[in-house]
Amino acid sequence: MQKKRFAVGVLLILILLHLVPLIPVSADLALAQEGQAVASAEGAPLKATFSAPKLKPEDYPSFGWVSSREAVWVAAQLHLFFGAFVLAVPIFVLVFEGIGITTKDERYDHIAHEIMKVSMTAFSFTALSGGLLTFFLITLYPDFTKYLMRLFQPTVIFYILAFIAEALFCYTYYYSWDALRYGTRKWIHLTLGLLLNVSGMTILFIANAWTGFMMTPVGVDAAGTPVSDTVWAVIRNPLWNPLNLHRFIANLAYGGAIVGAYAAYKFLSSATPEEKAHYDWMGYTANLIAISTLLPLPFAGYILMAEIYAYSQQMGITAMGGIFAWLFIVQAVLIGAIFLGANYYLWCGMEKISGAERYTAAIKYIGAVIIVAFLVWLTPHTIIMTAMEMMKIGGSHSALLGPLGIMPAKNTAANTLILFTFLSFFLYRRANKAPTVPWVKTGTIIMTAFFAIAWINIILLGIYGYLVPTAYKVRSSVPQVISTLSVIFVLIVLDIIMHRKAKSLGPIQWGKMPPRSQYALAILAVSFTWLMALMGYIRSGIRQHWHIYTIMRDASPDAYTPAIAHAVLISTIVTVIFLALVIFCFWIAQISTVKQAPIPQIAGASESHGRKHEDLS
Amino acid sequence: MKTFLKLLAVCAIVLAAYTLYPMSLPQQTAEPPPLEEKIGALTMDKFIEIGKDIFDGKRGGFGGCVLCHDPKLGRAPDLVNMNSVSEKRLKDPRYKGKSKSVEEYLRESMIEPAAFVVAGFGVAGTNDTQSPMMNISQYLKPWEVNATIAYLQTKDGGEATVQPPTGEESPGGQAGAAGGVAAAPAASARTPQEFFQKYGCGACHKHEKGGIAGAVATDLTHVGTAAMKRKPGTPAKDYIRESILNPTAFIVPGQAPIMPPGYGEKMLASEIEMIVVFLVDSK
Repeated sequence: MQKKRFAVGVLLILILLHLVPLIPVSADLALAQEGQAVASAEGAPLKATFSAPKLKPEDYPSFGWVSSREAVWVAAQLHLFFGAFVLAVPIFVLVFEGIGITTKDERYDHIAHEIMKVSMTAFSFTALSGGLLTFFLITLYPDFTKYLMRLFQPTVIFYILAFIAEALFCYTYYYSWDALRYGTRKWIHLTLGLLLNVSGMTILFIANAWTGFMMTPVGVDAAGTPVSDTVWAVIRNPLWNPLNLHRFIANLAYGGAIVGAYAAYKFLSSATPEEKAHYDWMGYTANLIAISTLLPLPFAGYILMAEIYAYSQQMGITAMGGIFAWLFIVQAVLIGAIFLGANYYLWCGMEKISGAERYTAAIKYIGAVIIVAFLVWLTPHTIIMTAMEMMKIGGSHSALLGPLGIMPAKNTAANTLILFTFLSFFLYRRANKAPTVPWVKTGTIIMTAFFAIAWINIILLGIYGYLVPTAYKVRSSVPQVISTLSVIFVLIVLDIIMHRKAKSLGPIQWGKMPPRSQYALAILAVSFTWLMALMGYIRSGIRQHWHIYTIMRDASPDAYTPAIAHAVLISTIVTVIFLALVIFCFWIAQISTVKQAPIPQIAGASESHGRKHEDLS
Repeated sequence: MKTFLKLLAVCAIVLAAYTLYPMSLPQQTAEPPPLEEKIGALTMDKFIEIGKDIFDGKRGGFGGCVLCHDPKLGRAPDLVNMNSVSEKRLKDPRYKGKSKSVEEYLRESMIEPAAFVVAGFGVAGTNDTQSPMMNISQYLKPWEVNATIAYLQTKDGGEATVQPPTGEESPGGQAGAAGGVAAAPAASARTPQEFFQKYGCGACHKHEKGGIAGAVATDLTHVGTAAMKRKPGTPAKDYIRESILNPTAFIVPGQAPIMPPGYGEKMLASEIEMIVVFLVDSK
């Protein structure tokens, strides 16, 4: 018992260590600290006296046969895809393993082991793509890479150490699965998993510091000379923690989606009901991870964008109102497709649950609300049009639809989308249970009223946004988010309490899923991947012609901001490469379980050869 | 294998749709600003023209002042009559900068925007003590800042006090800041008739009192009456001003959008206000 307590204590401390870097740093705070650093540095001699090089086009080597930017773009995005996947997988594998220990349900342990097996080859691809990216950066952008690495020198060493640690823990964790299966050994295995996650998260946080600095540099003067002799001044840039938070949540959603696609393929190709049941459950669990982490993702994205605006209004406007504005409409289409796909999968899943028929009528209304919210989200305010198009709609924006293009409408739509997706999930999880507590009716009324009031509050706050100046429009989004999150929290808690000792209305018939639901899972994975590529481009692209925003100019021939078609083509190419490699990972995982039966003729030949050998002797 | 191929086909179709949809959208490539530029000597007119290009986002390492300082968007204060406005702000008790002249105030506003924050435009929660505007010297060279000052000083009929570069300064260096020769801005139209003549409105529009008789675009003789009904909820004055400054915002049904966009930017603010009042009264 004491060993268990000790292990739980270690786990908690490590989890807390994980969360510490997530404490938000606002742009104002970071800039204020930078000011302090400058003030304190004025009195003391600086250790580092280098500055950002001022480059000319001839300072950039080139392969000739491929554009330098495209080479780095593809390698970086590929590395990010694999990195996101292999960072996310150990997190929920660890959670599954923990749930398996707590519930003593072997299924969780099996699914955790299988997911880990599938991701093992992906670890190698992460390292390969990382190596390729480093090669391209050193070869094609040597001065920039040298400056950045010199600035972040101590973190580079930590990065390498964390990488080595991750590799060691990853292989030990996976290959010791069966050796450390029960009792205290299982807790040791769990700790190995946690250490794997700590190494992975350390890598993520260090890389985010570099990326954040490129967008929102602090701790250096206008020439790029460090104003402090501590690397912390440049690490703690305004985008560091928003990136940490956003990527952490997004990686989980992404990892869930990829595992869901694997489960979908396995489900469709399964021959036996047992296999189908297993992969149906795996698909459901993966989708659950994807949805539950997708719900807070828009809020994390909002924090990220708010910090970009706070650091540089110019950069924010470039993203949301300039050359990148159309891509945010494309993003809305993708996010809408993801939400619809995830909901559709849940609705299909309700067909296999006895008792779910109670909620069938509600689905069409939930669907209608989600579609309306989706359409509002993707409605642009002002778009580039031809004169004839303008004449047809009567101006640069439609009098009827134009108002739906501004932030109050978008925030209301996003919160509605999240709220009703949560409702789908909420109905799914309680579908086959009938509560037995005496306060069922009162509890249901409270939950319904809470949901309705929160939604009305979200809509009224949206309308309020139209009546006040721009600065106050943004503020109303905060209570909207609080309304949404409070619904999720209150309803889940009440529902758990209400369903204690609930009566079952029948078993969930795992495996009885229509094939179309599995295609929805596959589409989710494709949509997530492509969306990540697109948003990665936007985030990086809004620096425009700067390697490090306003500090180090990109003087290469590729410093221009490409057109939308160019950007989406690269996004598609890298998505196809990644999906092809992921399919290879799945195939490798599958083939490792296949054992060839002995061929009779060869067996005979072997015997004959053995006899000859005996004769000779 | 069949299942795998079916799954692959569905994914390929989805991916193709995601790729083709953005390809059908308007395409635009943004070129970076030039790395180095030998500006040489500039005339005052050219200097002001460069300032206007910077303001409109056609030059400089950023999207232009107009991205925020656009009265239609309300993101930042409207920059009209900056000579007189700056003088008032220098006397304002809330002003905490060190400038003594309009020119210095305008430069200070671009480099240290917090020196004076126009009421209602400060960072939320700071009671207008902090400005959301960035330090513009990160994006513009000193002579470009001066060109923008020259444009702001002259665009509404005032005089420029900054000197254009003579070609003898160090690259990117300060152009002379004091005692500049004023550019000769185009004479301001004093009457609606002068306005119509100056801007060639008669080529397309008709206005009986205004003395123009074009037949290509809307007859403006009674535009004051029509403007009241054109956009429900929009006062006639605002509608007419918008039609001049942003003609594509509303196209009269049945009319082709032939009014050149950006035309209003050639006009002086005082002229625009005069013609708006005249047209509103044209009933």
